[in-house]
Amino acid sequence: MATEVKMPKLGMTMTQGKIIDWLKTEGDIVSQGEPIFVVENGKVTIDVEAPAAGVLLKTAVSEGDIVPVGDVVAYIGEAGEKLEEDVHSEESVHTTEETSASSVRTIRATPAAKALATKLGFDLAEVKDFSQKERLKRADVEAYGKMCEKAPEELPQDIAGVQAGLAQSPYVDIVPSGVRLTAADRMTVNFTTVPHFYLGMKVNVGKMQQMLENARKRASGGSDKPTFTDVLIWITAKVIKEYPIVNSQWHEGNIRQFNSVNFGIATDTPSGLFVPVLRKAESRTFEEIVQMRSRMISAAREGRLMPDDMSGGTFTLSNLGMFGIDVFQAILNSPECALLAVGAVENELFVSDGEIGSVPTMKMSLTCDHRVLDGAVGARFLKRLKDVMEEPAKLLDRDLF
Amino acid sequence: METYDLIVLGGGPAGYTAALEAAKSGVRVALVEEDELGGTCLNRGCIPTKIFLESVDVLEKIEAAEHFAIDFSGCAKINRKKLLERKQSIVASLKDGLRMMISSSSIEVIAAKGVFAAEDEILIKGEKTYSIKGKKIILSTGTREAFLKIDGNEFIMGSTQALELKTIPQEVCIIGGGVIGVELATFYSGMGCHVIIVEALDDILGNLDREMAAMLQENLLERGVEIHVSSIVSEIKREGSRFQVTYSENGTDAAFCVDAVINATGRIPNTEGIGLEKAGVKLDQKGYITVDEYLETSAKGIYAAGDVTGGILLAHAAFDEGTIAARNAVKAARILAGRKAIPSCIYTHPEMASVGMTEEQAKAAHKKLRKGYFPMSANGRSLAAGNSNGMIKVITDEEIGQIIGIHMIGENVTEVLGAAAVAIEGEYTCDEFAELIIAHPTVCEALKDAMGNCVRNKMK
Repeated sequence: MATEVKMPKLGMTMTQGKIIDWLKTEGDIVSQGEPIFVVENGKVTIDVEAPAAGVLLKTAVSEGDIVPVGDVVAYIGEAGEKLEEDVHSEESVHTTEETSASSVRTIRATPAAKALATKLGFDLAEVKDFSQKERLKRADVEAYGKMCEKAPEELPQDIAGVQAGLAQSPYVDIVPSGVRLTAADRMTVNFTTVPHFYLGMKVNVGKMQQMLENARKRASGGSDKPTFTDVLIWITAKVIKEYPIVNSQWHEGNIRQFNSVNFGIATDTPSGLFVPVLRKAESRTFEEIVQMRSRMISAAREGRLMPDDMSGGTFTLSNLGMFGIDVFQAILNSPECALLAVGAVENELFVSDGEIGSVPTMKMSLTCDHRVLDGAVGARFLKRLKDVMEEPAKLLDRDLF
Repeated sequence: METYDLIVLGGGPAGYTAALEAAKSGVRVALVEEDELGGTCLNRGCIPTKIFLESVDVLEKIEAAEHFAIDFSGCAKINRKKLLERKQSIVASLKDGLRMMISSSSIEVIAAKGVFAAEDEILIKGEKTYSIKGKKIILSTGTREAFLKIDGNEFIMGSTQALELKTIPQEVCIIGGGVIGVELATFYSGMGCHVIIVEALDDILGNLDREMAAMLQENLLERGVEIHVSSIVSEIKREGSRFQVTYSENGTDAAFCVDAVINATGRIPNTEGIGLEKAGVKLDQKGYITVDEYLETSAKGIYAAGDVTGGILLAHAAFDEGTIAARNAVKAARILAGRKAIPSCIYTHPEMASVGMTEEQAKAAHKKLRKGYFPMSANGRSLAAGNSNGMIKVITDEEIGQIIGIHMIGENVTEVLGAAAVAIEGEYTCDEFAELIIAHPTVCEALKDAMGNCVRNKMK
């Protein structure tokens, strides 16, 4: 019976991949482990290897096609073998969900493969999705490790070419980068399928600024410098823990609540927008948050983020204050149900008891998924967040002061 | 001219395995063999030697009857003629089985010599001379004994001749301290002969794990076998009914007299005189056929398998190569050869069995190693069987404890080798193996115990 070659899962949240290149054609003889096609998944390109040796009987998709993970892209078998592809393609639609659930429980792997995966901190389910092998061997885990090390490719923007084109014609079509395409797809889906609403609030950031100054004084010379973002993350994560509904997601008719706050930080990089995730943010010390944030942002800016660094998030923070933006309504990072967008800190004048004073103020906007959060629920959370931001002592962290 | 889908030249382990594998697909196969089907293994090698060693085993057990609380006052002796008859009977029965398998398939056996006339044409030189064509060809002509080129080498008996047992010498010299030499030494010493091994290299059993080879040597010395290493035989002269062997040990000349001199110096490939040049098949410096990782030779469509490709000269390696070559040749399978661990056994007393890397090889390949030992003297089954002599040694990497070498000395360890090979091929870690439920009381338990000791060594 022919072996099906399926679109592998190259990262935790990958749902589809684009076939960039077929390295072999129908009729070619391939060895097990020989690369047969190249896939782009948003930010990474990978050579996919043949899961078995034999003749490449059929390539079911073409270069440029975007294929869902788990779908059959080719068949390998013996020369002259007949294929029952129609039956298979129907089956694969129904079994993808089941196999992804059962594969976690029944992944066949040699003891060495399991030991190595544990040592390197790899999820065997991820290795299996990547290698598509029935029984994982040590070499499969090592190959998965190499894939994770690969830096995301940056597609060059030929500025000179574009300008030359515009000199001759009213417009030029630019092929979007993988990052751009992914963003375009996701933003469209998020914006059009999720019912958004926005709640705005002003915050007196004086105490947070004080906290930052104290932290900076305490930070030793060599370590990473704490930023205002770190303070925002540290406080927001803890408040989210008080409101579990904000750490939930609409998932196929259920509300899925998560036990950890995996905090995404929207980051602008030369390749585009990336959202690295800081795991278990609610239980980290302030210093840990500084370190993790610093590492993630550097990696993002240098194009070193791995697919798993950007997956599993349950909440996102977006800060455009550095550009002078005072307030903005951000599109949700679906499937998350809430996103906090903050703007620049400005000194606001106030009048009180005939006295004029100024207060450092920041405007924040909470975007909510109306399937999970109602206005009042979101408002209660945002009010608590403002209160804690204005009086962090309410969080009872003795160490910080 | 008949055209076959596959012509297999040589009907030994690699050849007949390849032919049977190809025949599964129903293709037309010609198996050309000028001598006996079954090759060296069945007729002159593995099977006959094991039959002889078995009789020596039983004799030794009888001689140790008292140890097993048996009062026996008789005198047991090996009957040379009956032993030969036993050998012939078993070999014939195995060959019959092989012939039956072949005749019930699409294989045509051509009992004649075959040589290349062109790249896809074989000239058959039998009662009649004619040519056949093959779409694909597999070469499995095997190897033969190599003899020393010295004065008096006509007095040296080949191991083949030795197995005809024309006489049992009182004193015998075995030239070569490799696996075959050591097995012959076990046989003859068990028959009551005085054995002298002369080995040119600095150690006998050069390919083995050094620690285990040293143990085997101890056992041989205890049996009364005399061993000379770094010794090169220069001349053999007839002295009446005996033979004088002159040799140079570490530069010093010496000589002794024996009743027979047996050759165990190694093997050479059967690649001359079969027209390989006409087919464009290239050989390496030692005359073995060069093949790529799919076992295809330098001539497209011509594959090679078994001893003739060099490497490890063992029947089970040949079985594997025969299967792979057939699938690659006939089904365009593209299976890579040489990817599996090859176990090896030596039927000495006690036996030696190993699979995977020696400690020396492991040290070269891995930064850090872990080892675990277990003596047979602490294994219940071995003690009950009267075999307290032996040791199991397990080598793993330090990183994840993956088992990379298993070496065993003891009675019946060749039967434990199956489990050892599964452990290596299945990428077992010593931790996981040590958790398996192994039947008690068995010799295999000692392997599990060695794994347990390996795990403990990690925690230090």
